[in-house]
Amino acid sequence: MFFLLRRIGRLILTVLMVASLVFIIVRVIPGDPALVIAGVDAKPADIVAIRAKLGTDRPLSVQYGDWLWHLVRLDFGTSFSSGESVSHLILDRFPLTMSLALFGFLIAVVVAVPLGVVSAVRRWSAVDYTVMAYTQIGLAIPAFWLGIILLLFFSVWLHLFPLFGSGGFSHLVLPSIALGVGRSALLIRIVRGAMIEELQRDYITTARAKGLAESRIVLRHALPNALFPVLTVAGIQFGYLLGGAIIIEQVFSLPGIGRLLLQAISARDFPLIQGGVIFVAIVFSLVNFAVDVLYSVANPKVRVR
Amino acid sequence: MTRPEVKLEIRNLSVRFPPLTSGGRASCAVRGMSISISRGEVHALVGESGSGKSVTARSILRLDSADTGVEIRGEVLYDGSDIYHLREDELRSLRGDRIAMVFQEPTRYLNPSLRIGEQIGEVIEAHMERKPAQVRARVMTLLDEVGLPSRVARQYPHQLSGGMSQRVMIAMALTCEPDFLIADEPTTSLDVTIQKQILALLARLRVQYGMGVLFISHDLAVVESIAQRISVMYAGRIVESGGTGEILASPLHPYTQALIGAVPEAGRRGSRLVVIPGRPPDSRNIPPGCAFHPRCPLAGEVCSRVDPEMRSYGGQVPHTAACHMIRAGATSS
Repeated sequence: MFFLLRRIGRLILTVLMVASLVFIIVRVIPGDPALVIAGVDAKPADIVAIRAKLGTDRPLSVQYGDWLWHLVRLDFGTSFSSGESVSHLILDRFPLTMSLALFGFLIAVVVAVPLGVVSAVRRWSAVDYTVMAYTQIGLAIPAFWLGIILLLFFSVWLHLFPLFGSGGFSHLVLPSIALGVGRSALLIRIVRGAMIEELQRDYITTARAKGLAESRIVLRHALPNALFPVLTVAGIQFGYLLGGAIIIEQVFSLPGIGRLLLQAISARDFPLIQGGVIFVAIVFSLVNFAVDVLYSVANPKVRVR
Repeated sequence: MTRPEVKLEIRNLSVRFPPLTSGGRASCAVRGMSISISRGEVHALVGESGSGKSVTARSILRLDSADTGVEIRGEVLYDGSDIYHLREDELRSLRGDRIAMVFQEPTRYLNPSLRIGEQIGEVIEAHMERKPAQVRARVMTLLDEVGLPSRVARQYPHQLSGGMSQRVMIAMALTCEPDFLIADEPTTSLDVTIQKQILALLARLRVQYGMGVLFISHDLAVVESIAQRISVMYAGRIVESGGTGEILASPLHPYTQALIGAVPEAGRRGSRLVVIPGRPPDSRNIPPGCAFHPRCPLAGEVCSRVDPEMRSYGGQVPHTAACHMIRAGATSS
């Protein structure tokens, strides 16, 4: 119970810090939303009127207080440019970004666990070196570059996948792969390291002495124990995937949170930028929170009875 | 199943570990040791830490995988055939089935994230064709056999005490009613009252199952209460071997004498603890000649040059020792 309260407290603190930071950043970058809305031929009086309407003419401290006050009530305000509710705009786009991150994560895990295990079991073999080479390359390649190459290869040349736009699962395949490869590279190394460590533990000697098959020793004895450290890292990786999804949306012209945020930034749509960033921060925190809970449920040593 | 004539014989076993650093020396943990265990007897292997006892135990079933670079030579004869010539799968069907092991620190040798019931049950599944219900029933029987309540089957190792964990280890070892049990310091990590219970348990099960037990210990007092035969190991080799009574009453080798002299006697408070001067040799740098000569009070010139051979000195159970300084004609009474 105490554990839960402490984690919730930390979550709230994180969100408040992100809220303050994003508030400052959007106001530090040059550009006035009123100018953007009014257009090039606007008269000074119009601009003043627009500022008053948007509320950007008020002192910063008042705007800040206002922002936090609304945030506490989960009210992200209305978009400067469209006049729509920010939360509505975000929730509309979020499923796409979330599915991208989820599929990317799924690909990363599905690739990383078997390869990491094989690499650890056949350490210093040709298989291990190949897998290690893959992780080296996977870590070095930026997701957006891989995205472009995948597009070129599978969509432009082979016509296997749609070139851009959203609509179905087929639109998510290439961007998810582009996202997943880098994360899988990192996870492979963690799985491999954790497996090597577990395979040297004394309980593995017992398992051998009991005459168990090597497959059972690896999969039933070593792997579950090796996955505990992997689980923690995987949670953080998911956060990176959310961030990566925002970028990869540009490459694949997918209308997710990333596109929304980019448009918001070019229009200096303060509430939308703030809302979008806060929203991603909350999701990231919630995922890590969930991972912590999962960890304590899965690990009998942590679980309190 | 009852074949009292079955023997486990280790002949001329040598175990070398490669150097840790490229310029370093290889470690000769075991240097040509031989020992034999018959069914129904407890044969104790005694020596200081670093003498190669545990390496011997692990090497019998080849538990150190080849990629550690370990080099094992010699023969391990089970029922007359060399188990080092077995294929990996044949060896696996012997492990835990005909020859089982119990280790020193039970809490580290149990998987922390599997329930006890599964850790015992999987031995049955690995070696016998049984339905899940039969496996569960057998697990319960085994837990009962080692004096544990059946709820332990649902528990995890961290919920058990050291003594309970060792009972679990013993239950796992007993699963297939093995011919031989290799117990590597099974009581060392436990406190004294628990030690007594575990020893009593092992002694009872030895009789009940007719197992041969290789009982590895550094503690002569523990060994005295359980073993029929004792072999003393020093620097990777057996230096003296014989019946428990004879070894303890009339040890021939100066090292055995020193070991017995170093056992603190109860009821003699205030007397000094006797220690063996010096330290056991580093297995990467074993002295020439008799490995014990730098620490030996009787060592003569020949001891630093010539490695003594095992000689027989009579006795009901053959009493053998490897030392130049045993006076001619010495026999154990």
